Amino acid sequence: MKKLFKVLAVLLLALSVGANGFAATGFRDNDGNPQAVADINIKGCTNSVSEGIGTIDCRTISGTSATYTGDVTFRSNLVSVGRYGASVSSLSSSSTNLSATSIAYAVITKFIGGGGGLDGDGRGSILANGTPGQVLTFIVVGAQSGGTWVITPTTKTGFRNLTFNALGDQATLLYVNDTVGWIVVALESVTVS
Amino acid sequence: MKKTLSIFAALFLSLLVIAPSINYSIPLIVNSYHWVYLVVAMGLLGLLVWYLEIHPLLKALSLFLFVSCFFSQAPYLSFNAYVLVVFSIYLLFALRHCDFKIVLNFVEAAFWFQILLAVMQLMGRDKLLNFDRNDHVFLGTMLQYMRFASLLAVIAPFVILKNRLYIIPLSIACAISQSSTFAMSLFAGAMVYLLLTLREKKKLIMAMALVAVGAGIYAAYDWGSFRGAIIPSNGGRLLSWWALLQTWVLNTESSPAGPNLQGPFNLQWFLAGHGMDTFLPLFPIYKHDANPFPQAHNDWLQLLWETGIIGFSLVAGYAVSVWRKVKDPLIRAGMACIAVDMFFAFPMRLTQSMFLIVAFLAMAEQKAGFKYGRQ
Repeated sequence: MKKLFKVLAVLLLALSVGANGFAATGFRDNDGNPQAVADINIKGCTNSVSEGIGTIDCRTISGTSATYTGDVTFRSNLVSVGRYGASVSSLSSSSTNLSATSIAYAVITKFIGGGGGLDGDGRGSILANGTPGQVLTFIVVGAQSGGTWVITPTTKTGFRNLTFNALGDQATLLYVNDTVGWIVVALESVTVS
Repeated sequence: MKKTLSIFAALFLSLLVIAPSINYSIPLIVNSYHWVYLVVAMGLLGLLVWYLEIHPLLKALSLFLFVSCFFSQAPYLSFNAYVLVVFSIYLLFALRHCDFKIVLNFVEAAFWFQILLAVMQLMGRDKLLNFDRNDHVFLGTMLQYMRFASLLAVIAPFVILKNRLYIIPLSIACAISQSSTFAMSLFAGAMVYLLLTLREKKKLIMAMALVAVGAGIYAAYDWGSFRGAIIPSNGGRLLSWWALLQTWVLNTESSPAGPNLQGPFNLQWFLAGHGMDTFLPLFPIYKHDANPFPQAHNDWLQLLWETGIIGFSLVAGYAVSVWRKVKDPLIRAGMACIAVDMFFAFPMRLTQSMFLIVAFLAMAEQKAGFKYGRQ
């Protein structure tokens, strides 16, 4: 009976996924006895990570209120529903490393969330080196007031970063080579620093 | 049919001449499906040029420029520019079959429109482009005095073909605009015309002396304009041209900034250039100057920088070929006027004047009686 209750308790814990993303689970010890797990830390894993006796696969994020703190790296072909606008950006939210070589199309549309959120000041996208001759155009197609989106290329000449904060803001960048990096070809209402 | 074609062509040219400053851009997002199809279609039309009755050097130029886009440092910019190149070649082909009397009438009307507007601006009565601003300026629809003067320098050969007395209003416009480029273009045209028409040595010497004196008086009157173009502290062009020649063949991206840039020799750039339409974004990088001239202020050198010795040779070879065949001294004088304007300004980069230059070359070919083999 005690065993049954323990199993049921573990099952109930496993079904209730917390807002901080922790997952309740149980395990069997080396003697085969089921044990309850009170606290599991999922460290920043991209594919899967082996911790202790098993493998935690964190490639799938489910639920509607999963929250991560700090910078998170997304795969560049991930398309997510933006925080604002309920429409799809061709880029995921901020704190993203953009791998320019894997962006097939030259035009990137973006919804910017409100101030203080994931797209807030200082939290932006890092644009990796591209392919010589590559041209990218970034266009803001929706913006909440107070929000900004900052793009900082890894290698660039003539500027440090670009800040977008309003509908219609647009910038076109050209990648020259690995020495010069990205240069600005055209701007519309974008702040260059 | 010929008259209809001539009217349409003339209307197109004259409407462009009076257009306010236009930034040429294709209203398609680069790398969208429609843009790719446009470029591909232009590539096909560029190859079809080989079946047209046009100068063989232009055929070679069309093929070379398309291939060079694939080697450009900014292929998307070069493919965009190639769209205009193909359009220009077909425009030249069409204009060769036009009645140029109609074209000259339209261009003459556009010239007087520009002068009328400029006079109103000079009187502080411009209620069209500079409403409620009483600045006394001479800018026409270009709204920038150097570009306006460059446009007038390209229009000059057309109106002088109608009547040689147009040299008078043109000289007056030159003096008011205070453009050294315009002045040198007119003087070059005048000198060439005198050399070709005056057979008697004495008359020739007298006429050239007169022109030289006139040039000297103008230089004294407008010394500020010449000084600004030459002296480096005033943003002189000579330094910029020297940097252009260095960055054409040397990879100076790691060079320290200064008048003598350093870097390894780049054979591809020497032969084929950096790529069409790449001067604007790339020259500041290689010159290590965030604020150089956005254009080279020299169409010939910029052509060399962007298309290399091969592209430059094809264009220059074509121009020389037309020059040698055409016998009309006024046409030759006009070619000299435009060539000098291209050396100190950038009329080939302005939508208002670039197609006028194409039209003038078409007229020169027609007058020279160019005949190409039937295909």
